[in-house]
Amino acid sequence: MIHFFVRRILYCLLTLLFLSIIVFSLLHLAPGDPARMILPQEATEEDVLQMRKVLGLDKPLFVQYVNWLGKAVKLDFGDSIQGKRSAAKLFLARLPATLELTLGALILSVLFAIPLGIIAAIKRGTYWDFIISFISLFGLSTPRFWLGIILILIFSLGLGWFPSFGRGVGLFDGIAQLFKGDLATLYEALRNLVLPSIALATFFAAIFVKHTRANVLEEISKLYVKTARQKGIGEYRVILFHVLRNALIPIVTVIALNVGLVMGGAVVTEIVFAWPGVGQLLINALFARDYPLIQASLFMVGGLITVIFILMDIIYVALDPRIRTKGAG
Amino acid sequence: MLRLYKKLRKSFFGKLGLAIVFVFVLLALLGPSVSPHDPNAMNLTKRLAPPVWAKGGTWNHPLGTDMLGRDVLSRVVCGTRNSMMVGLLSSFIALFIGVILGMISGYLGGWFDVILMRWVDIMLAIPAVMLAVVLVAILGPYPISIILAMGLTMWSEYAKVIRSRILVLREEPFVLAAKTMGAAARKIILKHIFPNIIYIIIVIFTLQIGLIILWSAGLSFIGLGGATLSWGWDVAAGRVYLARAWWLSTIPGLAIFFCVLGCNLFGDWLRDALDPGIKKVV
Repeated sequence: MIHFFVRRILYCLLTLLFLSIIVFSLLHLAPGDPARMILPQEATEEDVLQMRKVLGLDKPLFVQYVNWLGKAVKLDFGDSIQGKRSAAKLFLARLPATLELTLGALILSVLFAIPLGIIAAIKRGTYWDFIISFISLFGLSTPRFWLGIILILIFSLGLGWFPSFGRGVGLFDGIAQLFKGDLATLYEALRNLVLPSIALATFFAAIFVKHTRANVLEEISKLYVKTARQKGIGEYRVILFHVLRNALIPIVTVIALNVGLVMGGAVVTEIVFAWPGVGQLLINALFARDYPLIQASLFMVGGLITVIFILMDIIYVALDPRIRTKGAG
Repeated sequence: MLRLYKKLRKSFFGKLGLAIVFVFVLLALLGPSVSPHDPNAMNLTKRLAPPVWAKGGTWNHPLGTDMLGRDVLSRVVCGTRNSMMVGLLSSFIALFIGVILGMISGYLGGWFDVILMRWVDIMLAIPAVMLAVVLVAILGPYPISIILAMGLTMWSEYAKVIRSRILVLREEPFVLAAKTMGAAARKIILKHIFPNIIYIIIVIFTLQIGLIILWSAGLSFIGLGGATLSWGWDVAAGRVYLARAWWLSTIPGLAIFFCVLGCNLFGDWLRDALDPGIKKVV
């Protein structure tokens, strides 16, 4: 058991190390001299040399990397070129918005996908199955940014039910306000969240439906289900307590593996809805060639997802005792 | 081949998918010669004309015109080539890298395998879209950047699946026999193992190409594609006029949707028909 966790954590550290190498090399692969980019146009050759020294660009690459890594583990990526503010702080200020959107999309997609997947599996080969498969095929084929625009067109510009862009105060503040007896703030926050979450969730809901259906089908065909049925247990009980308990475990992994993709997808969704999250920050940083900010964003998103993977592993072991013995072996 | 054809005739979705893909391939090949107008010809006196079924639409511009008076239908038709090319080329890059790395990793094992699998884990941890976005930003906003970015981020699916298949294959009697007879590793991989994974490669390719078209359209949408004649770009450009001219963003988006739908339908069918043992959900 301990062996298992130690190994997982070592793997996680190794992953972070690789990640840091990629993120670090980005700066050096990119065309243009970072020193020149920070300095104003009229800077002299001497100024550039001076700046290179300040930035440590005159040292060997490996030394530069070690220095950079030493700072990166303390979440110090230097100042953003545009704003002269700490890149990590800029990133962290935007992170709640992206987390909110990711969370909203994940909850929505799981809420719809798992029941639909179960229905499709139980009613295999019927019209239900057919319709659900077709819906999920639509989900897989729809461009998210376009879906966002269509949602704005119908529900915001057409029907006026939801705001067409922006985040308002945000979900987390809304929840905080709730404790002060203020329900309206949370309501507004949720109204802002609905359309972007749907736009982001559709694709992943479709993936989850497919996985749920496949896993439930696989479990239903197993012998213990037959035994349970023969013992005279009602079909609902069999599905809910016997099949689902086992079928859900692989689905948890699939959801965990997709967390990264959902966050990545949030980049584009944020642009469509002018959602003030990490994605927007990253795109702005890219167009401004703000390398400290790009590095901070990439490294921290990657790190976050790696940590989520580890947490999922722990949940996994809690859900499925069989893995413990496998891991120890 | 004949068996496959017979299966195709029986499957409605397989036929539908193939038909859609066929239409788009045709549009990509013929492109400019079948489009009614020059996709870049501006006509400011006829800007924002609605589609033919809406009030004020004419058959001259069946799908309306955009903010510069360019014909929307022609832009969708001519944008096909760009979108298909990006999708195909990046899929080939991903295939090439993924297959080679997967084969080496699965067959040789050892350190190479450990490092490669770590690498694949990292690809899971950094959202591919983010990595692609950054690559495009480094290389500059050209279609070739999107192709490279998608190719360099999408190969891990191939590597993973092929590696795991080869782990099984290399213990098969025919491989062991070849080894015993002193065949070189290169020959075993190419002559004995490769023919056994070719179906898997085809299936991953058809299943992935839709996804790649979808995501590269997303990159063009953000403005990283550079080319101003692509579906993703047109969706983005039409956004500003959403309240006045709904068709500008909607119609190129529908083109992306149908193209990807066709690829997915066909890919799903092909996977079931060839049944190379890939799980239903790949």
